[in-house]
Amino acid sequence: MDVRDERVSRAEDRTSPGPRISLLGAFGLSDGRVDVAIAEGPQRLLAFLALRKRPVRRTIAAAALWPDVTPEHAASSLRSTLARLDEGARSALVVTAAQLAIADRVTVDLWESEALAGRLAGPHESLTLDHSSSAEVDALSSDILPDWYEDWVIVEAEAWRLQRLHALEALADDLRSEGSLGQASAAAQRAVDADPLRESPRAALIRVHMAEGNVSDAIREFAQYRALLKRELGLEPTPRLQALLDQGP
Amino acid sequence: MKQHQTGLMVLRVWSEEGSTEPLRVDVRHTSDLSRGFRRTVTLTDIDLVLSAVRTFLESGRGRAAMIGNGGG
Repeated sequence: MDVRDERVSRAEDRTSPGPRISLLGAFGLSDGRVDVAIAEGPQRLLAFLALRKRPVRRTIAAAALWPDVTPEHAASSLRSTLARLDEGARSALVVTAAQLAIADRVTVDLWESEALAGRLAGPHESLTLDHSSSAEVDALSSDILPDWYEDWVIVEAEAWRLQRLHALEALADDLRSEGSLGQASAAAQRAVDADPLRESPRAALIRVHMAEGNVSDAIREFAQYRALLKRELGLEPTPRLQALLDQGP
Repeated sequence: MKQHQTGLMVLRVWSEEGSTEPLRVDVRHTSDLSRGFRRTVTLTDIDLVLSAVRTFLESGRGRAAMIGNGGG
């Protein structure tokens, strides 16, 4: 390779997308261009480290991933898993004698979604129109690895579920305030889908319907929620929710 | 051959402010993790939640006894 080709190659390496780990919905790993198929053991290791977001001592990782065996057996299983990593998984990790971590070049969908949820949860200026609100709604619409039941997944999954629920409600209110009522409705509906018995997402959706001037839709939404609450819990919606209808558009 | 079967119950507890009964407890459980969560129910009464937990644990004890007797 001549000098010019080498410079182009290094430049492309710097600008080419790095590995990407997906934790929202099904687990996924890509090298930045194509999906990489890896075995279950490396999947669990990458998912564990991505959820921790910081370097983890090998003993901690081993104990978490193999909780039902002796520390020595767990350490051996970890060594075996690391030894069997293929190039795609190996490039996503930083492995030292003491610690394991996700490599700096790696992007993780959950980290990006959490950052978005964090911005929406705190005091913030209204969203501007140069963003893709549909992409943001999508980023907040999936749970962490919903078919994984390890303790270290469930705790993070429950926390994220609540965080994304609040973020979807905040996003719906932001979009409603700026007049993007279609996207506001989509965001609120995703929040309702995530937790049908919780009242705050219903309130967000009813506020959107009222802002659209669709009072009949708002009344229907209230009636559906009321029927569900009655059937599942034998309860009525709070007066606060009823008051949204009484306020008018 | 003895088999290990892991059950899991998750209680998600939150409060619906303004409701006449604000306590909400989502109860998800499975008797076999390999099959995923089998059931989710939302309860508002602590005694019902305790009853659900007791039922879950007693069913686990029953399965453990059956496996121990070679019936797994």
